[in-house]
Amino acid sequence: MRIGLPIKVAIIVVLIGLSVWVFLRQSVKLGLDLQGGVHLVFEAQDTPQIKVTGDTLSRVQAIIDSRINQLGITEPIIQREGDRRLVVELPGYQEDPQSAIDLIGKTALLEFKDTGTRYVEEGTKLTDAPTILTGADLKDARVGYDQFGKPVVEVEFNPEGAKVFAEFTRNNIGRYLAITLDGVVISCPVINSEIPDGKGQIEGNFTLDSATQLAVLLRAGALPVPLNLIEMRRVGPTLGKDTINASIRAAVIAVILIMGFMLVYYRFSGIIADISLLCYVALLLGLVSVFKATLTLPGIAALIMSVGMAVDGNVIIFERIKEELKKGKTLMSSIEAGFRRSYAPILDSQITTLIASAVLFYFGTGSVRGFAVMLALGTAISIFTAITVTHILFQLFSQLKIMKSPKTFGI
Amino acid sequence: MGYFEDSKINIIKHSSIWLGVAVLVIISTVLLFFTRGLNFGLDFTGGTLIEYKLGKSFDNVGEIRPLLAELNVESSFIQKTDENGVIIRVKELTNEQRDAITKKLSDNFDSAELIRQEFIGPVIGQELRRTAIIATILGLLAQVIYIGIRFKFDMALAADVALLHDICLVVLVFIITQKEVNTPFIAILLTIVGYSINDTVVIFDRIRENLKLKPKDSRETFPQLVNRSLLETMTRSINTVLTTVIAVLAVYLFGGSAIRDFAFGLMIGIATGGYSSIFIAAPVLVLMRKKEWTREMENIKETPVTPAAPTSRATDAGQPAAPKGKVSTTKRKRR
Repeated sequence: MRIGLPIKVAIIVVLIGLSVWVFLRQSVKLGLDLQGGVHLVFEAQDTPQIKVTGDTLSRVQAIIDSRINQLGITEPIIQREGDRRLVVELPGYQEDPQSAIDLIGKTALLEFKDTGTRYVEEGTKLTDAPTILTGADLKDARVGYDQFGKPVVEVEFNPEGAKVFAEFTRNNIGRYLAITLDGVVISCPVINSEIPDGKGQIEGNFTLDSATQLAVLLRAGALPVPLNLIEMRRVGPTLGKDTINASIRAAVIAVILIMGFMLVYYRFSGIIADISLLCYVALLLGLVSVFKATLTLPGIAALIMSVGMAVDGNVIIFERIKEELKKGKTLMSSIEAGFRRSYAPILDSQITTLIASAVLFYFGTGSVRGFAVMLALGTAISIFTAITVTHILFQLFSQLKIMKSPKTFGI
Repeated sequence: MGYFEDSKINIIKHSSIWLGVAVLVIISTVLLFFTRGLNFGLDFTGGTLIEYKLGKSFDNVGEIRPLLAELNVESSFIQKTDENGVIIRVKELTNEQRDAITKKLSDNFDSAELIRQEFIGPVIGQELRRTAIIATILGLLAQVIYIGIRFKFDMALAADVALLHDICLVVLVFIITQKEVNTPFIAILLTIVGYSINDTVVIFDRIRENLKLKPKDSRETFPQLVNRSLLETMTRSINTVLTTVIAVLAVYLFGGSAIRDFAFGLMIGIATGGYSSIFIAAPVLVLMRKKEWTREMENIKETPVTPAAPTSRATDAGQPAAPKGKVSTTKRKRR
């Protein structure tokens, strides 16, 4: 099927219009390294009771998800990586990362322990006393205040838990009850009377923040296995902003220099290459927006580098056309031969770049993946602009007088 | 502008020089890798890194070191990034120590903004090393397979030798300059693997085409043909590399400090990628086909210059199908 030239031109104009429109309407998604935030990698540890499996990790992921959700961080990312790792990204998180780590990585196993007549100081590790109830028996937990206005955590047991709790408090009036979090005592009150309704207060040494955090942890539930922090990256908002500004400048300079080079070296065909290059930039920005590809620091380098690679196809075609002209062919047949004979080497060389990006995407993480995506995207688009768009432009301009002279090609 | 194809430059004739240099590069990379070594960054070594933007500019890290010493922070590495930027790398750092450093710096330099903090556990580094090696080897293999399918197997091997050289050269430059090597280094290596082969493909494509178009009675030897192919494609080899280098150079010069080393690595890789296609891949190919073309050369010497060899004599000699059969096999091989 042959499509008429006007239709081809129209299609390209529409594509470019759409790209620019999408790019302007939708802001590009920035990676953590550019927008700032916290990136955490946790590794689940085996316990004597539980070996970490994919299933365990799914549960951990769900719990972390609910913990983070209650913090109100926008667009957090919680991803599994391998069999026992979780990657947590908190874009725009600018507080001390330690509080995020505490919230996410804490096992948060709450236990109510029977210490009999023994009072246990807050902060001591308690492992020997028998456990009566755990956080799993809770229905709800929220922040409240005691009669002095100090923050406390109000807990409510589920029906079975309430029954056990009522029985225990009835039988142990005047004795101590130790409440531990991950084995450390946070409160050790005296039981004054039976608590029949399953409602209680934990009066630890809380600030409003720490009480809120504990309530969040208790509502989300305890992690089945402990987590170990193995990687933490925190980027302030200024680093990314500086880099983005600098790289926009670098990109503009790169485009201008390359356009200048093509113009000087290839004269009129240089103009055609330059128009294709601008089409390339427009399409690239559009597709980056459409695919919501995440722009990272190395990704920016890939984008700018791809501008230099995008004209490679044009160089190959133009040099070929020159050769055909020197063989004595007419201008039009030289152009056609130049394009026809350049398809194979252009495709081959771009496919090798695509292969490399694929390998990189498979093995890389985070910012390196961002690089691979941008490189692949740029390469794919450049095949289209270097061959199709340039060819159409040649056909479009072929009626012009200037196209009749070999000077067009810098000869 | 001059044209390379009209010049008398003979690249292939001096193959031993180019290949000698290449071998030298590879050997010294291996030697230096094990003696001096790469300057592995936090991603590979593990530890903690904090980066500050200070309120005042400073001359050198000597101004910062004593401040850290006062806080009893054992810093393994302090680096100046900008006129007012500093990176401090330590093995271990508590939050209290970090806050103390922030305070100390802001007391001494008007203000200190913590713009980056990273903690990398020791497992990550080991994994990263393995990933880098596996990814690079797989990338090389994938290219051999692709080029092997599209061209010929010996061409794929020749291209891979050039690739290996490019990777070594970039590693060598990073060893010599002692620039820090972090995760993005893997991206540099793979980009080189992808890009360096671009020019090789264009050259090999031309060699293949010239072989196909070669008249039967041509007296051009294979090394001559490769040299001609190189010269014919020289302008595009230079220009394609040049445009890409221009782009990366812009990133290197204007893209900001966070991205500079990365751009530097890419630039070296792209430049050497262009160089190696011409001066390594093609000579290696000539070397690999030496048996083939020395025989060819002897044939050329033996056949008399008189173009019209009487066919009847060949038929009389009892081997009429031989020349025809030979042509078809070479043709199949060359495809």
